[in-house]
Amino acid sequence: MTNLMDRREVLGATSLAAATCLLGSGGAEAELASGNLTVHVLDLYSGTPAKGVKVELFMRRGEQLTALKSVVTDTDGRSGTLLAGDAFAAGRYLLAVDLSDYFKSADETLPANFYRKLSMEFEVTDVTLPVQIPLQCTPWTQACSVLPG
Amino acid sequence: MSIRVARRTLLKTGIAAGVTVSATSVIAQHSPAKLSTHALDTYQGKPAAGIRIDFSRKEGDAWKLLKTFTADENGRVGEQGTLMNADTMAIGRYELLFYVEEYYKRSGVRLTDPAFLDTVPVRFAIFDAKQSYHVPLYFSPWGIMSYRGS
Repeated sequence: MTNLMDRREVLGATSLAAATCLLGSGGAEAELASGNLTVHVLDLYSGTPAKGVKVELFMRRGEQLTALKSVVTDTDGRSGTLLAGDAFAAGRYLLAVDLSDYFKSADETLPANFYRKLSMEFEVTDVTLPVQIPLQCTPWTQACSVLPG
Repeated sequence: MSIRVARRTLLKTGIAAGVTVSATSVIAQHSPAKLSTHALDTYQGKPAAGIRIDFSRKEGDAWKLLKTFTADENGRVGEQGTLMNADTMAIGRYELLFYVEEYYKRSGVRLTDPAFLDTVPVRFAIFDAKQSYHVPLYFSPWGIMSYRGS
């Protein structure tokens, strides 16, 4: 898979409109921005961080979704840095968190066909700011936030 | 930094038919133990810098104020162990009282008079003095959420 994002030019404090114009343009080495994207999954069923949850990140361009990352949360329920530096670009993203296997292994009373996959779309406009996405969940409730800074 | 892993058994009650099951859960425990909180203003989408937080402990039937804190610019208190740390952590019932109305008034957010939410208490137990506890509050003028974080 070719990664279009590797060669994207990102300017530190451009407006969304300006940044959108730069999408797909190759060339200059990216200027390092301090922004990044992280996900943190908390299991409110067990009162612990949710380890081993599959987290996928896509970028949306119109109707097209491009897979960027697929990771599994660590022992602290964290995704690690999904995007940073020149890969953290302005634009629209889709985050998908699959809680099915996680909760089925945590709770044997859940039916075998229990399926719960949370997906959310959001826009990044300022690539100089970190974006944190905490997710608190039980098998029956999911609360997801997109927090700047 | 070393990470201690504490294993404990949690008793959980299934929702369906009140079925009780037991399961073993692994909690990643970063040493040293501490209590921390994080106040997030979900109305303005930013940390609740400067919000006042009263920290109390239950003694008998009464709540005894231990100390009043002001959240830092990131909305945090206790990251350096100022709420409770490995030396002071004690099993018991505690309360964090968040001054939501006062915070919004100072922020210039228009509220009803009186405001829907005044102060918001979160009461929780320290049940194992060797663990760390992160107890955040997400709040807007109209709703709150808290949970055991990490």
